[in-house]
Amino acid sequence: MRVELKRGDRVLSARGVVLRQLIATDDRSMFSDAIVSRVRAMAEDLARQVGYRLAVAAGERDARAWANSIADPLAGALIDEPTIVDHLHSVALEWQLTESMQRRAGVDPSLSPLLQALIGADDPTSSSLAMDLLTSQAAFARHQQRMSLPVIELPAEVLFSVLETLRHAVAGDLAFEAHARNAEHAIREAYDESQCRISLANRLVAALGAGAFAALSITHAGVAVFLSALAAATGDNRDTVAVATSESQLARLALSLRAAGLSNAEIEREFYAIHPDITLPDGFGRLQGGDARALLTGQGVADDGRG
Amino acid sequence: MAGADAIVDDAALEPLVARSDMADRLISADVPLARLQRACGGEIPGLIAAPDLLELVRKARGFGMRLGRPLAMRHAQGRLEGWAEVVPDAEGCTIRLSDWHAIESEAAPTSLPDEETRLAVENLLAEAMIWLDEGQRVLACETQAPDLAVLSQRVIGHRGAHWTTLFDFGNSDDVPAVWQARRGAKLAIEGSTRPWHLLLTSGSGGFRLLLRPLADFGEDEDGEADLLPPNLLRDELGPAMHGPVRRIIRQAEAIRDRMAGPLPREYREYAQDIVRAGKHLRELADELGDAEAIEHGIMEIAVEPVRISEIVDSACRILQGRADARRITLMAEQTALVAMVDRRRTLQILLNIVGNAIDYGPADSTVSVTTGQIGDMAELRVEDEGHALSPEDRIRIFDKFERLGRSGDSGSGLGLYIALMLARAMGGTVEAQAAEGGGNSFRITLPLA
Repeated sequence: MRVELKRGDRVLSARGVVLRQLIATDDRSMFSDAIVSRVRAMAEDLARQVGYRLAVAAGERDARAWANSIADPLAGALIDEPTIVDHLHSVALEWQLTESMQRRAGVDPSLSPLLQALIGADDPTSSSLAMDLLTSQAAFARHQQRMSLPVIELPAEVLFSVLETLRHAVAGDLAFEAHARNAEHAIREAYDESQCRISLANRLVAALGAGAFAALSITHAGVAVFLSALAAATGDNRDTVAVATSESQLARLALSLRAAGLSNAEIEREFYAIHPDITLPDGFGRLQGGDARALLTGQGVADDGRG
Repeated sequence: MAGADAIVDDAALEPLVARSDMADRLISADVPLARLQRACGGEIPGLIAAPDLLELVRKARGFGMRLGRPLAMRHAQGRLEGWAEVVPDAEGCTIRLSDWHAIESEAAPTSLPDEETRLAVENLLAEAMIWLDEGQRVLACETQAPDLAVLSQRVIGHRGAHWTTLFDFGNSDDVPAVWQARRGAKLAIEGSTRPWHLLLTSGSGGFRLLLRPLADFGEDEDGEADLLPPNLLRDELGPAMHGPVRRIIRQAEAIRDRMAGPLPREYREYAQDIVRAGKHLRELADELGDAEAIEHGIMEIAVEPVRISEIVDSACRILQGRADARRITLMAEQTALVAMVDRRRTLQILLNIVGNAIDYGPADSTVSVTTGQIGDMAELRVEDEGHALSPEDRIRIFDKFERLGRSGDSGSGLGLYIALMLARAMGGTVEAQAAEGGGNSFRITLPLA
């Protein structure tokens, strides 16, 4: 009852913001039905996976059916967690961009020209990294087509939040608290953040060093590596960068590209690739990288004004 | 030592490995990581000193998950970056840094020539040199000095062993031998009657130990008070502290201003406190010799009306971290009394006395500062719950260089002496008494405004 009320309260308090967003923005991509249902579906999938582990730990005979039976309320609880829902939203937007890049520019969801070049390169480190990323990105694409997301693909903070939600969900029932601990343990054991797709992309960008500049081209690097590279170059969170690719965040994207050190022509090229029907605001070309970073971080304009 | 703007120093395919324990102390680390730990002011074993790495290790332990993230760690002389993987287990964490780059730069240009000069002088004076490998294990020894023949033999026997096994450092000191040696340590060598000075320096691909006899210099580094040149504090120690203290302040300011990236607000406040305390220390380092100046009656004391509460609060804030570390509760009483004193000197008196109470009192106890008025004097009482001093010690403790048999590096034995002298110079005094119900009570009197 209390949980239900609490959720009701949250809906009420957020109602204004959500409605205003939906009615006022021209951007149908950020909160489109497709995105919302994808977020919902991924949350349910996560809930089913966690529920399945819980059922196994509890020794349920039909673990899958049992997991399905609790998937709905557990998914609701997961969506109530801002850390989780924000990440799922970013993942959904990333996939949306991945699909549209494939449709418009023919960029393969898993194998980009950059990855291809790296796999064939002499350097064993980047070659094997690129290979790992390729398989992991292919798995991601397969999962996204089914609107699912393996729980061990989550960043550590998000996974922690998922496990915490599970703990809260069973709190009070001593037997299930013990089962949840076992399930948690099993998930933790299977988890290795450095093997996550996002980590692999981040690591690849880090390993490229100065060559990471090449990854700042979305058609060349592919969406996953591009987002990691842009996040690394601007010092922004990768999830924030993913959200910046949606239509209502044009300014953020343009500023991020500028802050990452791209020239006018390069920014125009990226912008055209991501938003083909939108032109850059006038006067943007005069904006310096330092100013862009200052605007993004909400701080005063850097006095040195370096690009 | 490379030039001021030397850049890439090392990069490798082999990952660097380190271990931390359940208290996030670094227990072992490969050389570049160990170097970073030291450059950040840490020790091995000791709490992980690079904040980003510490945060990552804490997170991995807190989450109980294997983490993998890009990591860039900065220190005064450069940075170390790469892909960090942290695997928590029952005893701590294994840290693995792959695709790493160590970049040496921004070496404080002003201090570099001094350091180089010092090394050159040490090289010149050295009568023996011992080569060590990257793990500081003994490789070879070169010496012409006949009284080092025993050592020379020993080196052959200890080849491959850690160099500290060559010498007897005594055991009273908490500071690891490696640390003493980095700064230069005094020691006795078997077979030689001369006292020796040992310095550990890093060379290309390893380390070197430089040994020079102390007697030649006519120096005796931890001699008695009487042997100290009269102006040692002002002319030598003060300037020598200037460099390190300036670095502390600069690095703390870098943290405070979040130059290396975002930081939780609390850390910023800690950094703010470090800056404040560092600046205070710097001023004192400049004027440490004033202890003697007071004796000679040439001490400058700038008295002004100062609210006592304000000084007590500052002292408690600066010492809060030290108190927390020993789980000691600091209790300070508010008062409206205004004293006619030198603000900084009074803070110094309090820092010293309250600091002593924290350091030498039992853990999990309380240190209280109360204020009262006696005639035209303000009276501050600092009370601890520690071991009560004997009546003789209560007087002896104010003697110059008196440490009541304590060893280690946690004090010069000058603090209380200076505190007493400062209080007297301001027309007050400091005395130790037995506190009611056990413990010690330090009573500071100062003239009211």
